[in-house]
Amino acid sequence: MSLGSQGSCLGRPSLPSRSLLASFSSGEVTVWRQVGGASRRGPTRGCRLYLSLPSLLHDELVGDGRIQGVRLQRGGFEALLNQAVLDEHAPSLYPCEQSWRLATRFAPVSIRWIQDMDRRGRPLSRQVPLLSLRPAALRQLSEQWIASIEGWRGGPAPALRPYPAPPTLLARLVGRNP
Amino acid sequence: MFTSFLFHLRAEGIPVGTGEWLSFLEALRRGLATSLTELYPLGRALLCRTEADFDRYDLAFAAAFEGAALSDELRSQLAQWLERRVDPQGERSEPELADEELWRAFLERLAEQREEHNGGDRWIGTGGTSPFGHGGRGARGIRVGGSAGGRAAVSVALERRWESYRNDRTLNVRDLEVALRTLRKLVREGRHELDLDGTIRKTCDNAGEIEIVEQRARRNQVHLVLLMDAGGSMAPHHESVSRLFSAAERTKIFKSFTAYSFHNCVYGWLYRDIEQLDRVRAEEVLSGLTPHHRLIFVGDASMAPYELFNAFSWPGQGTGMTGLDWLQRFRARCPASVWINPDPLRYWDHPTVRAIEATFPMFELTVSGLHQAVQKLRAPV
Repeated sequence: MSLGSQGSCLGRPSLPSRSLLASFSSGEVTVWRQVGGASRRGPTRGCRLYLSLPSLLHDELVGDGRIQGVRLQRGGFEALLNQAVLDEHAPSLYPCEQSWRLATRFAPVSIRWIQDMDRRGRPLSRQVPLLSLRPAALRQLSEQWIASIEGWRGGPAPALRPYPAPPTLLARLVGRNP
Repeated sequence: MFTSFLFHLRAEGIPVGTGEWLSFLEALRRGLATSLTELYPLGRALLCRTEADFDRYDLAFAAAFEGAALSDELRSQLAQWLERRVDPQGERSEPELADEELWRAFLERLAEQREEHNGGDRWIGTGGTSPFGHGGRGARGIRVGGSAGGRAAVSVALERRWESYRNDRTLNVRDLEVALRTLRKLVREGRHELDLDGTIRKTCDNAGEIEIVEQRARRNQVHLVLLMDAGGSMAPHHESVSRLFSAAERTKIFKSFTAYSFHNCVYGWLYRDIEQLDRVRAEEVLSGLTPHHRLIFVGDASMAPYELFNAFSWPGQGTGMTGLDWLQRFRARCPASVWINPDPLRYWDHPTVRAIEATFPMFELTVSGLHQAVQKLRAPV
């Protein structure tokens, strides 16, 4: 499932498309986070969850940080997406920029689209979501929705597939008014 | 003991300053209170600034001194010892005990004493110069028995007779009316009436020849719009919100008063009667607002984040705007607007409450909260 977020030329997307790709089973979704160590993105009070492991490895991980695979119940994952506010102003979603600023300031979850990468760190022609959780959302996540957490010790990244989210939610997540 | 009393007072929110506390200690040093029963009014007179503090004072007093009260058994035993009054004897003595030492000495003496003792200068009893008991000549001490019982003041405190004077409690209709009545912007535009001051002035200027001066009556220009969250998490607050509505409707001082309901946040529609689904477009209400309108939103502001931050709509309300967009529009159209939250302050640490608080000045639904809200509404915008 992929939605071009920007303008297109001759029917081809001129900029990376935004795809809600995830590694998931019938009941769970696996997301990735860095624990400990420094981060290229700087410190956060809450937690950053990546859907694409290579993105995390090349986008955030430096030094002695460890990687955890967090398996969430799908209901919890979708609840996070429902709460997420896009971290760039999309006028069609937020006619009033002030409202959007307030929403990003207080929303428990924000979503940023980042360049996806392959295992060697080469950019792919698509963007994948990075979810930033504030402490309140992280608490809710840990109390209700986490199925298991496992440390990642290398090995191949799990395959990503388009996540079957409702079209209206997908449209909103990429910055379009559904 | 008295230091802990100070902490109890401050914990209850009574703003006891150093000067007041030193005055209280000075009063104790001079022996103005020799029992809890005397201590209670003395402390209240010196430590409370307004009658709104009386109930909190009662709570602090009970918390500080209930443990110092005597057990029933001890009290009855002491009462028997003290029944027989003995003439004062001996010279007046000034025990050099600080207040806390006095209490400590009293409790130690109480633990040691095994029998009735009257007269003398040490034990708890009548007469003599002992600082403990009653009917004696001790310059200062702790009164036990006689007209003052050790527990009486605590009992009085626990009655909480001043509860209705608190200004941080939930409002009743009368409180609300009083607060709302101060929301005025008076303009002379009514019928002509006698200007007494002007008439006297003109008459004096005329060397006593009466000259009647008239002026137009003043009328309140404020249009009040009350927007109330209804249902869901507001159910526990239904009564207090109803009281606010009743007070606003009864006040009759506004140029107009309109009330609407919404659920959680304003979306496309506002309800004149939410049960009958009698509704009006929020856009229509917005376009009717003027600089003379004052908006009071009432709600707990607590909802699922997507209801406020994302374009969410109840069936049939879809507008493509977020709840926050709607609130921003109301705020921009009518800067004189406030949000009254019936939830106590400790529940305000929630993303949607914080976001709404950043949009509207938010106040608690208490006497002082409503007064502050009205002050905000009266301020020039």
